[in-house]
Amino acid sequence: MLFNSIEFAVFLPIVFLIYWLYFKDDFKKQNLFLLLASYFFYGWWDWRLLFLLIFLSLFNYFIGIKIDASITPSHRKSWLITGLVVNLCVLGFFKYFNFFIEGFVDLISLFGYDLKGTAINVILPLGISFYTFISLSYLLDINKKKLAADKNIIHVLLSLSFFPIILAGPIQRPATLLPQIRGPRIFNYDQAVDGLRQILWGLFVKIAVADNMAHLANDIFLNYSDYDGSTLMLGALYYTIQIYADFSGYSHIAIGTASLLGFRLMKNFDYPYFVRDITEFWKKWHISLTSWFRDYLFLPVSFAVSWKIKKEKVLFIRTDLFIYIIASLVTWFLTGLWHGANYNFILWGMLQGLLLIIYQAQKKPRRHILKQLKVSNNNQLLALTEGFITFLFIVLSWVVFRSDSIQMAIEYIKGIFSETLFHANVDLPLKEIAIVIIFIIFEFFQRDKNHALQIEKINKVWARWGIYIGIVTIILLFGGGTKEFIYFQF
Amino acid sequence: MKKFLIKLILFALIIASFTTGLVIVSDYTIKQRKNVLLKLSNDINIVFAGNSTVECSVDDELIEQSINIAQSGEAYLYSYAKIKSLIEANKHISTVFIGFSYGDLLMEKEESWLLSDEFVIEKIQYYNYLLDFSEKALIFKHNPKSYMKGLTKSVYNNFEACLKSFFLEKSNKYIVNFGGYKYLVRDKLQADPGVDLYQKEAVEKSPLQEKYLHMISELCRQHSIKLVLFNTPKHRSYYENVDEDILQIWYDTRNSLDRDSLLDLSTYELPDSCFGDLSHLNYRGARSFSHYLNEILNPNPKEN
Repeated sequence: MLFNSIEFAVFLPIVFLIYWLYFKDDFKKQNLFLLLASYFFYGWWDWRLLFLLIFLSLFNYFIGIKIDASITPSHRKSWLITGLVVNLCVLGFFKYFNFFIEGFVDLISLFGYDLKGTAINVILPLGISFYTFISLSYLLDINKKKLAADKNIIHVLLSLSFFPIILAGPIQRPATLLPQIRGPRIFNYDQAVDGLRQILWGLFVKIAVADNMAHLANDIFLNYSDYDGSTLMLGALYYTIQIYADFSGYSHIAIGTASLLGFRLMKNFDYPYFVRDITEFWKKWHISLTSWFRDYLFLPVSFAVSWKIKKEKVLFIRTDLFIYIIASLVTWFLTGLWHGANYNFILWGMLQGLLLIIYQAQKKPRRHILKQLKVSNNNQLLALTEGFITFLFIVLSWVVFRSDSIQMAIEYIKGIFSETLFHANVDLPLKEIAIVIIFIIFEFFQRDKNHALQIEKINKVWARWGIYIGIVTIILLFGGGTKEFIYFQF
Repeated sequence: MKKFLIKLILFALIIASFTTGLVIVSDYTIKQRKNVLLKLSNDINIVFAGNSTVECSVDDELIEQSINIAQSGEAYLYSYAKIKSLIEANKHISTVFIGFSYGDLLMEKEESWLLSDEFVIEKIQYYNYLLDFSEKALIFKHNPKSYMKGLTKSVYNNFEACLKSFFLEKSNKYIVNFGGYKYLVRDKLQADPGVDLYQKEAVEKSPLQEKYLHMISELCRQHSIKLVLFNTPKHRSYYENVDEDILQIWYDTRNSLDRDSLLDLSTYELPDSCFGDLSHLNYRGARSFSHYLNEILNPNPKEN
């Protein structure tokens, strides 16, 4: 069920009314109802794959208890490894089987063997990367004793399958969701209204911004060889806006939906394009994923490497930087792979890692140079220039992300930087640009808020309602049509 | 909770009323401007209609006294509505060329061009004001969700078209949001999967495509307009491999419209560089083909 579908527009009010009116006095029944609603929501797409979700959730429930109950560290470790291996094998099979088999077939063909036709096509269950990561964090947190295994099976199953987050996050860790599930929720008018506002903003961002940009970007990416440099640059910009609007829109709807049901979910985007450097960007983009990788991969790898190195320099590189390089490369390789079973995602991840390493490496010399030049780090021109360079890199890296192959990405980027880059032979889509400008204005002026439609400080009711009606009107009149969310494929 | 629900219902009612109001007003406004919008200069008496094969093949700037109103993925129902409205606004139209390529009568075209989500939204947003109640009801019955979406999107297009109608030059071969020649740049002949695509499953004739093609024929007859079934140039590897069942459907339909003319130029020879893909001409092909068409249609060009 898509958040931007008629089905969801019917599903959510029914769930909301039953949840708050029929089960309002019994949070246990509310939890059971939410679990059933979550399974219904997930099974709407393909009920057969619902069994996989239920199986994995049950498995993780039992493994969680076993880890928690283990007396010796070795027992604990073996249960944890069992849990991690099964979860990762399921993810690996459904998400990467075809990728690795095709790679293997290609490799074998280099030696003259033809194995074509031997691969099987495995369906990718929707949201598998998201719910696997939620499950992994559940087990890892129990292992680290940050969280006690919950004996109540409904609680655990709900925390691993909660419908607002099951398909595309935020990757809300059970450590923060379970405490909310365990206690009663009381209907809070302000929270519900804020949830509705966030849903409305999410719908606007997805339907009016992302879907309109998708239409423009898809046309250019599909026929990139036909276009000149300036159009290709525009296509990259369209996609840059599309992917942000698409995914942040989804996250807003998810968070808003959870708010309506009395839950608080973590922020997933924090206006990431208004940044100065790449580290700042990654602190604000898909926060639930980047913080997951930071906590469960980057930091453990950094600690593991740092324990093994006792020298001040390794390969003429400062040890702290060397550790950062190793941990970054591992983390970003896997972040790229997490996004999809394709080489361009891996390249995209490695590019991000590389830029973060470069940023880290230049910090000290940069400070020194700025001091020599007597330029303050707060200099606005410097900030704008750095922000522009960062944004340009982000735009180009999205080309790699969006392309079907590395070859296409290279040709596309070569096309951008051809002699036709400044040929302004482009018809600008004025209607779509006007919508994007509205979007940017809201986001920029509300960037210190959780979402751009937190306008409760506007005292006049008519003004607030005018904004809501205006936004709904834009969605209805100018929406780009129902399209799946980009991150569903991951 | 009660306060929340009351406000929510109130908000939904306001939105519903506001949107309905906008749809009604925009529809009324464009209908008032319809004759101005669709008015062609008196020297234009040939109309080319149909889907992308016509859209990409006929450069009406190169063909005297003609206008191309074809559009990608256009089902005959929309062609019928467009031709009907155009005839009503322009009594001087004497000839209508309607696209009649091999696959146009297939069920898959009905399912995609006429009834799929994408095309219902795409077409309704531009052509709803041209449709009769029965045509609207037909589409609504099959795909109400997309029809409603298209209807809400028609508001902007209607107002935009009305606004533009005040600035149109009468001599211009252009009608706002009504299709027209597409300058196709692509050159993807090699990438086209070819006619095998159509041979995988048993073919079925589309009753709705056939019905509206007959209605176009009847409409033209009523107005004493010559209708020409028009098969645009196809690449050799396309027309030599068209499935027999598809060909049979095409012949049957043509025979059922035997009072109308057929201009079958599917085998018109053009070099590979003139094809965007197997069934569409690119701009090079369109230029060459349109000059040829102009010579056929206007054998004695006016002296300058």
